[in-house]
Amino acid sequence: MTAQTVVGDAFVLVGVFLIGVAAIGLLRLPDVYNRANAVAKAASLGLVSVLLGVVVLTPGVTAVVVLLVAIALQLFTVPIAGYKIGEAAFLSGAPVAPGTHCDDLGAGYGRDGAPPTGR
Amino acid sequence: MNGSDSPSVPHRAVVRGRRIASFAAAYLVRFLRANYRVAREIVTPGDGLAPAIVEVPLRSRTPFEIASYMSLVSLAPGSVALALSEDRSRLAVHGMHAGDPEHFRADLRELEDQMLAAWRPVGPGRDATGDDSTRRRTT
Amino acid sequence: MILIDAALVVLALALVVATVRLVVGPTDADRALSVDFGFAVVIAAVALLAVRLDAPALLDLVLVATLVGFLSTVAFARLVAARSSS
Repeated sequence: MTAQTVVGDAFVLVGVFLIGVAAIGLLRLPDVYNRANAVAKAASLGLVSVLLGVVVLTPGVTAVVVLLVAIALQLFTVPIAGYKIGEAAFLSGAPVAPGTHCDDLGAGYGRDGAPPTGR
Repeated sequence: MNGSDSPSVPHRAVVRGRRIASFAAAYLVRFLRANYRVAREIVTPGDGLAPAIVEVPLRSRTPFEIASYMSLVSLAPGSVALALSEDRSRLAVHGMHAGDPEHFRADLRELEDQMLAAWRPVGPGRDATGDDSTRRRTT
Repeated sequence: MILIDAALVVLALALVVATVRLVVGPTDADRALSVDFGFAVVIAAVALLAVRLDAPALLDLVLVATLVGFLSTVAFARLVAARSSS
């Protein structure tokens, strides 16, 4: 049990916990918007944490460089993927959960339907 | 930045570096807090959600500013950008903990303020809305 | 090593959840979301397997899967948005 394995295991543990939380959220949250909000980001953050743990656990320069590039790519692509899923739900007029406050969105958002009030 | 006419270029660089650093720190705190809040919301039983879809007016003008603002909003859990209006002046945002939409909107505005302060050049005349009116697409 | 084994079991369960949401999902955006989630879980599992089996070559797979996962998510989301408007 070196300090290296302790730190690496801690990162892996946090990451897997976040992915597990995201899985529970995928089952529990009431509508698409909430799920897109929480799940995509919690899962990706858990993934980044797992990869950081693997960086610490793995010897060798090549592995570290490859993983750091993967982490950077992940951090740049997460918000774009989340936004595209949210936009797809919004444009296809997915119903929102009851109790959602909804601003009166005017025209000009690329769709001509009514705001997505609960159905 | 055209620095040949001004003796205070190093000073500007220091001010700008400090703004960027403080923005990064503020965003990190905001990001970790949002993560904790959303994780706790999912794990604990009961329904503490107060979701809302709000419309925020954008003050970011250039494509770079708009893209980075939408990325920053979407990266933190608990808020996600849904759609950009066609004239690029308004953004629809979904929030998970927005029981008070005004408060949520003010929070987003604060983030945009910090981001613009960090990314716009320091100096007279270019701080606020200086040279960006020509870059807006007219509809 | 016992910790990594347990982590792999948790990831397998998460993949089952993603499959359930893929089948049940009331809207197509839900399905795009669960594909995205499944990709993240598989990438994490491959990275952990690289440690567990002591096979660093698997880490290249992580890099490629990150890119493919992002592109497939964006393509799927565009498909959902385009089909709804026509």
